Amino acid sequence: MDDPTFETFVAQRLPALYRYAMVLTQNRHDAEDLVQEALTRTGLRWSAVRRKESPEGYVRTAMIRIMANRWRRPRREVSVAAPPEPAAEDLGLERLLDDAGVRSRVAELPPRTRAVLVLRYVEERSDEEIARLLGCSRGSVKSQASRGLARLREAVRGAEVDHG
Amino acid sequence: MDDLESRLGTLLGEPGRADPPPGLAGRIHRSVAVRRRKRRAAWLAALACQAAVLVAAPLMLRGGSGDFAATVAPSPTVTRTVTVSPGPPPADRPTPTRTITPSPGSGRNEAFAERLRRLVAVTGMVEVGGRTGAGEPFTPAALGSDGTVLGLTPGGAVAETSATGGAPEAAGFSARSGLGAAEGLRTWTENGEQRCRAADGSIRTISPQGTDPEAPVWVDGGAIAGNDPMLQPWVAVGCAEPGRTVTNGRPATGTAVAFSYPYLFVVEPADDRKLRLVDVRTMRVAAEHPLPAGVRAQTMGRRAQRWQAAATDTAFVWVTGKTLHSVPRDSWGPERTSGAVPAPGKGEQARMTAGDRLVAYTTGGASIVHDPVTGVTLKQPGLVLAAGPWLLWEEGGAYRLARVG
Repeated sequence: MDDPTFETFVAQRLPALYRYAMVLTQNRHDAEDLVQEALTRTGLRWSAVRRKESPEGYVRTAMIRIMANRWRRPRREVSVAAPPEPAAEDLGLERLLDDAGVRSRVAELPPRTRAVLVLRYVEERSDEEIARLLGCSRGSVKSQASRGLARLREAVRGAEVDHG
Repeated sequence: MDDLESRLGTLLGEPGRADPPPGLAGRIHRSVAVRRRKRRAAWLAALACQAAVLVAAPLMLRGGSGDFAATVAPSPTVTRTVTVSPGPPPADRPTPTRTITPSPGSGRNEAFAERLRRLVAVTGMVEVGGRTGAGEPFTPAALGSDGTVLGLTPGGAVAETSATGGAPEAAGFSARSGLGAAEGLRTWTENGEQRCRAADGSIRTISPQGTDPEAPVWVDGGAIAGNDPMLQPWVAVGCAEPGRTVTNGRPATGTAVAFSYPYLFVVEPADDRKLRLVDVRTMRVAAEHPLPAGVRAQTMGRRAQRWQAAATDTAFVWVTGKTLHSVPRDSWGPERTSGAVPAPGKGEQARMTAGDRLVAYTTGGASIVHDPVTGVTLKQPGLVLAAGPWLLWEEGGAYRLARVG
């Protein structure tokens, strides 16, 4: 089969790549920018990338690395965990609010830490694989994950105090 | 795995159910097209600038108008040496360097050779033509540690001369960037990949996952180093086999900024904020230093800083803003500084090259040569390149190649 053109590749794989960018950035504006930057770089050297076994894997790796190493744009908006006036006691709602708190804390994590958590808990990659992808040591992956989890646990504890 | 960790996969993965907004694909294609156009424009501007320098410099030297002409003294004078600081600097301050400004007499190029001779031993000098044997304009782009001069012609064909000088002849390949040479080895960037031609004429791709056509490629000690499009350093040993990505599972992150075999100087300004020396023979970090002075940590919302660096056998030299800094590699201090490096003009891009002893910083239109051993800096109009024991500088419509030590 002939190698796909860059236009065909974008048309076919953009939805999946955009969703991956959303998982990485937790923010649709940053996701658009991230996927655009990664695909622009890919498009500039498409003749070489299309011959690779997995062009999509190449773009995903590019996104992780851009995110971890160079993604330094300020976030435009931050979701807040709790509504201004919490409703009456409701265990299901409390769980939802806990999740919202964790989600907003996830969005506040440094990009590299967030990338580590996504690779570890969404893609279920080993620390060794993550270290290889991010170009750092396994110890660095563990410490990033540990710091990230600690901040998220703070959010959970904070939510527990707020809601009794 | 606790409750939070078991929920994290779901929580983090939730945004992954969104669809891309309409028009994103179009934006991506436009972005690719714009960057392609910019690259072409930058390339053409650089060529036009070089051509303008080639034409304008001789005219001005003949008494034409222009700022540069005003610096040519009407009568023969010796080179003037300006000592910036007469006494030792305070212990906590960088050591200023001396700057020797060009005050040419009968000809600025003789003056430069003369000033160079006062700085280092010059054991041989040849002329390299400003036009190829076929008569095309020739702009040097890389100097090899064996004295090979590789350069570009307006059509993109690469031409070369050996250390014996003369008119450059066709090198047998075309390129726009990433040129490098060593004995029996030629390398260049082609379609985003780094290509390498061995002495037997065989050509192979040596970049493990492409190379950034806008980043420098270094050749030293038989090894070739560069950065890939993701700005990760890679190193290849000769042309025989593909290189390796330095950060690929090894404890070094960042972008390569200089190379002096066997050490690749890698900077990570965002997270670790370190300058590391990676021994390319073992791919291990041999030394680690704080970010060089003037190099700012990369933080959210700030554009990446543009700065240049080069490494000799004994010193690491870098330029931030208008300041040249130099530090001995063995002690990593004290640091010397030298002010007012030439600013790149429109369409020009500053770059640094290093030889065994001397460092050259050039914008194409103006250059400085810095000797980290003495702290002396020579200013010189036009292009200057350094590699191994060689120094190449522009001389009117041609170039001089000198062996220095």
